[in-house]
Amino acid sequence: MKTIIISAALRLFFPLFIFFSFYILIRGHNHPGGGFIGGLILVIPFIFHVLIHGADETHDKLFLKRVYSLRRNEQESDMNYYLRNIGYRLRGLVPWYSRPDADKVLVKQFVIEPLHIIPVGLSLSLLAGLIPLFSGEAFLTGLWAKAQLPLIGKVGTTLLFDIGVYLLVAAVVLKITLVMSKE
Amino acid sequence: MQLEDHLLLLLPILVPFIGAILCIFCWRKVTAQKIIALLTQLGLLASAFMLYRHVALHEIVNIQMGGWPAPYGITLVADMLSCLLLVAGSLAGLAVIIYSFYDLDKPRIRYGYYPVVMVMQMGIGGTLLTGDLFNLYVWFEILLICAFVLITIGGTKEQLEGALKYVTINLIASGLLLVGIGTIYGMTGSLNLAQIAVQAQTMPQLQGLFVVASMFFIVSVGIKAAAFPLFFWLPASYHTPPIAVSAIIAGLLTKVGLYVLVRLFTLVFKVEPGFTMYVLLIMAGLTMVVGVLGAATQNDYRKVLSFSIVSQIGYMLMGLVIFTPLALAGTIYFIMHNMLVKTNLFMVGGAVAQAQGSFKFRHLGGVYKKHPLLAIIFFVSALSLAGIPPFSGFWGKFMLAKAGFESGFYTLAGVSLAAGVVTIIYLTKIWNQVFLKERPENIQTLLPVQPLKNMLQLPMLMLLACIVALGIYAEPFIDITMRAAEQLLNSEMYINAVLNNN
Repeated sequence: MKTIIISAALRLFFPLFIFFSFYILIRGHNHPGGGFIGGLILVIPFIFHVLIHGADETHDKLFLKRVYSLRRNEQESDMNYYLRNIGYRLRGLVPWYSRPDADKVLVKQFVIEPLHIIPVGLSLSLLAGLIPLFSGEAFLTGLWAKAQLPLIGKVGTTLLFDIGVYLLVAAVVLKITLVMSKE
Repeated sequence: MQLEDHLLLLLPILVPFIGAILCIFCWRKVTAQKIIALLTQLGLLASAFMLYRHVALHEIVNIQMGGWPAPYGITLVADMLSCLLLVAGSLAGLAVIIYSFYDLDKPRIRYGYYPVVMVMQMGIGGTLLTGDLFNLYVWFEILLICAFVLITIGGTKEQLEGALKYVTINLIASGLLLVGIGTIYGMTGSLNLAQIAVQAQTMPQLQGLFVVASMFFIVSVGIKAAAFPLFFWLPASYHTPPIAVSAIIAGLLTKVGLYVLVRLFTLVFKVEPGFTMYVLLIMAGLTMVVGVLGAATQNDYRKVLSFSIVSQIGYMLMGLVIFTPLALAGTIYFIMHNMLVKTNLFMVGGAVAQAQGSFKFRHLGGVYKKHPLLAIIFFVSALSLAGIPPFSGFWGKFMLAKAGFESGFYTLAGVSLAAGVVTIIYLTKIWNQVFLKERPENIQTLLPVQPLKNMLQLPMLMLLACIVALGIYAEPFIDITMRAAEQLLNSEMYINAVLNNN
């Protein structure tokens, strides 16, 4: 289902959905929202991406990060080589300034596997429960920081718990989507 | 808030949870998962034992999650009953984990056997320790999901069929459980077990409705515990997955269901001579009879054992019907004994299948000649299951039958003794067919035949030692179970501990 309109629209909606899911996550303490529903909203653009481009391309584009470095010139000093590499990578971060470079070498390939986000989410939630034990409170007691952060508001262990749920739900649904679409 | 109570009550839930998280971190790394699983099980056993020691000193221990006081917050409670079952359950779990190192195929481990088993252990810990009706339901769902995953891992056609039956009937049971919980909540306005118990005592005009609600619990938990007439899903689904899976499900899950019945009918509902008692009485008797008859007619090692589970559930229900301290102590002793013995018998079957490639009697034979140690393990476990003195099953049955005769339940006690005779018959059948008979030649087996790994006998010997100890040093164990039964019958103790403790 490769249609140009939806894939163009998705590019706009991608950040929108992600920010909206953050918003839902953070307002969840006193209003409808929270980690579970936020996690589900976070996955929506990913699901659209899978529907439009297929699971393999989604995986390559969104979950795969390749790091390149430049081929080393003969008799180049270490310092010069590293500096050149750093400059090259910085340029890579800013797309309009970067130029295609033919003689680059693939150094490393990072894969973000949703399966690895699941235990991270679980451990964050567990940590939120365990932190009060260290200050002599009951398991899962909500502890709140005195200061407030701009935009986010009060920060406490309950937010940490919610972030854990958020990551867990998003990762589980993502994994299910990727597996189901391959079959 | 006491930190010691807190940690001790939380550890049996948190240790397997942390183990599961670490196992998912090591996804697809088989060796790492095995090490983590073993350490987690050892940790769980240690924490269960420490909790038992603590409870033995302080009677009933409870904590409140998040510091919210009892009827509003989530309560975890540990009394002797839950601690004893926790220790027995984690022992059986440890044996199965060690067993799985030598018998479970790599693909199943790679698809997450260990994390799911860990989560299941967490679910068992949660069910045994929770003091809240709705949390009980949630823990049950966790157990159901884990069991479903464990049964389907591997994905053969047989397995999917078994899993489908398992899930369908258990979903219906969960629905009924939820209806029961809803009814209770509607009547009492509380989900905390202690609070409900107080309401049940102070509102005699609602007794009729409590009986109605108790029926929902009997049916739904009865399905999960595989009691008559809703046991048929168990023989249909337990014989399909590999032994490392069915041993853990068979050894633990039905007993957890039974624990819930014991807890609810000692604390919230009353087993008075009347409708409830007759329902339980008929269930107990027929569960025993149908279970042993089913077991005696089967010709497959796993199917015989699956029906045998059903018949043993009847004995445990029997203690609940008689409802004297001795009878309840007998039930508790019997549940512990059964967790260990059933797991062990399943594992023996798995070892036989590894060596001979089948579970069907017509494919098996001659194990006694080739693997005498295995035969001895089976022999002692079987004697224990059949209730031959001095092994553990005898004491359980003795306590139950004695309590039955003392309280005038002559028919029920008689049925239990008769069922015991049939138990000996089907165990003799297994002994003849699998261990003594010459192995038939030229047979096609479904499973691959491989030389028996000797280490496979290690967890069985471990459980065997526990079974023999439970039988020979019966007196201290019987004292402990008597104490647990006294605690159950004095529900005031439980209520006071939960509601008056801040």
